[in-house]
Amino acid sequence: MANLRRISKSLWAFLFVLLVWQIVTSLHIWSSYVLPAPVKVWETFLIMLKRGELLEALWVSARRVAIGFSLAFVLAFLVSLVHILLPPLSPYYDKLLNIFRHIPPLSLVPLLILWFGIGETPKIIVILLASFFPMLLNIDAGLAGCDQKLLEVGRILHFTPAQQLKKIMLPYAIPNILVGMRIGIGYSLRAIIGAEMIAASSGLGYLILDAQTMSRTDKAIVGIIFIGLLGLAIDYLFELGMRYFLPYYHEVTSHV
Amino acid sequence: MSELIINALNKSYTIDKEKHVVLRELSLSVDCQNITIVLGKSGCGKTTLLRLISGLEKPDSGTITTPPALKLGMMFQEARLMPWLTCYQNIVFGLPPHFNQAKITELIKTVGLTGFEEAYPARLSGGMQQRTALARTLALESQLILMDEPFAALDYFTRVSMQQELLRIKKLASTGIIFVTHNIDEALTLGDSILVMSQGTIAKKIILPANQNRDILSAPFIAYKRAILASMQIH
Repeated sequence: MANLRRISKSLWAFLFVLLVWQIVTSLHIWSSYVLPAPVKVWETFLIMLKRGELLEALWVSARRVAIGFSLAFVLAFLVSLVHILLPPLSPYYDKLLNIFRHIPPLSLVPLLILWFGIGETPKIIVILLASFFPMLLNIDAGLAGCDQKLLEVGRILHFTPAQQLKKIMLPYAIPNILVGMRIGIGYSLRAIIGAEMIAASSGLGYLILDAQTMSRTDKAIVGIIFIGLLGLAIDYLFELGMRYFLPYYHEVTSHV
Repeated sequence: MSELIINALNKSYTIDKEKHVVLRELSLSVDCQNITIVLGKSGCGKTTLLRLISGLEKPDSGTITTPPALKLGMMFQEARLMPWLTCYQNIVFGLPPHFNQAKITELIKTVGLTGFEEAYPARLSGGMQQRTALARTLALESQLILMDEPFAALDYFTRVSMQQELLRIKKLASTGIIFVTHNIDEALTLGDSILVMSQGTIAKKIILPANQNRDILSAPFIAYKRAILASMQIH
């Protein structure tokens, strides 16, 4: 019930933006080519939905994100485990990772196209690079930041290192891991749109760029809003997941 | 005779390149069937002593000899519960997969947590959290439980009721306890024997008669209190 009320409250802001948008277009300050009316955009949205081009673009982009993001997660998790279990090794690769962390993934696109062509590989690599570091940093923080006092409880119980990891460190790190995933998926979404605008013939980014070359502002706006809604939906899914996996976390936060 | 014997224990920490001696040539023997109190003011080394006995830390020199196959349990000043586990899951945290559920149900009743099994630690009061920690320690059926000021963070009334419960549970379970505290009343209420610690060593050992009246306001207890304070050089 409280949830519904919150959603209805947030609807007011949407209504306000739509209203201003409608008023501005009715005043004919700009041509409808520069800024089409909301009704026109809605109609285009329905047509694109019916023709299936929107869902197809979504499917292509989502597939790329899913593959790149999953690879990044597994890789980040493994690197983090090496970090925690073999700390003496970390000085050897720390700086190298740090250099890569500061390189914007999109800057690699020209090279990636040279090496891999304009197929799926460059996009997946861009997503991997975009989401790897936020996940690595957060998983690291969760595992390394484990409460020493809880680990001592494990030591009193004569836990092996594997048991310490499984029964204390991992559950302790789950909130951090989920935060990392949440940030990672946001970064992936940004990166994939960028990559698809530079070199692609399909996907949501391509859809927007293609709309521009065809002078279809309405289509571009549909694509942009759709990406925003996609992000909102993913956020919502994460919230559901957190509530499911972390009932204690929810209880804690709901008390503050 | 099940005895824990400590011989010439030394331990020091280096903080900011300065050496702080915590325990010096500390020797003692503890009867593993009784409640032994280690009493002393903050910083006298009593927590360090307990951490050395538990194996969480290693001594610089000296030996700790425990009875063969002694199972140790430990309770800390904080409850140290796993926040992601319910009260029940915390209690069985250290147990093998096929534990005796009826025994645990009985234990939960003994420590007064019936009805709170599904609550997460964040929902429990400080006293309830310590009860959960106590149940977790008792569930292991260790022969000797090390307690590091487990009731120090509780309010006076909760602390007194937890002390009474501990005495009641001690009668049911055949477990020995080494109990660290800075509270003289707590020491006199719980202890079969009291080791007074001062400056990293045992300053005095007091053995209380088994039939001792535990009224902390009675004349013999006030006499004990004086003796303890004198041995700690506090007037």
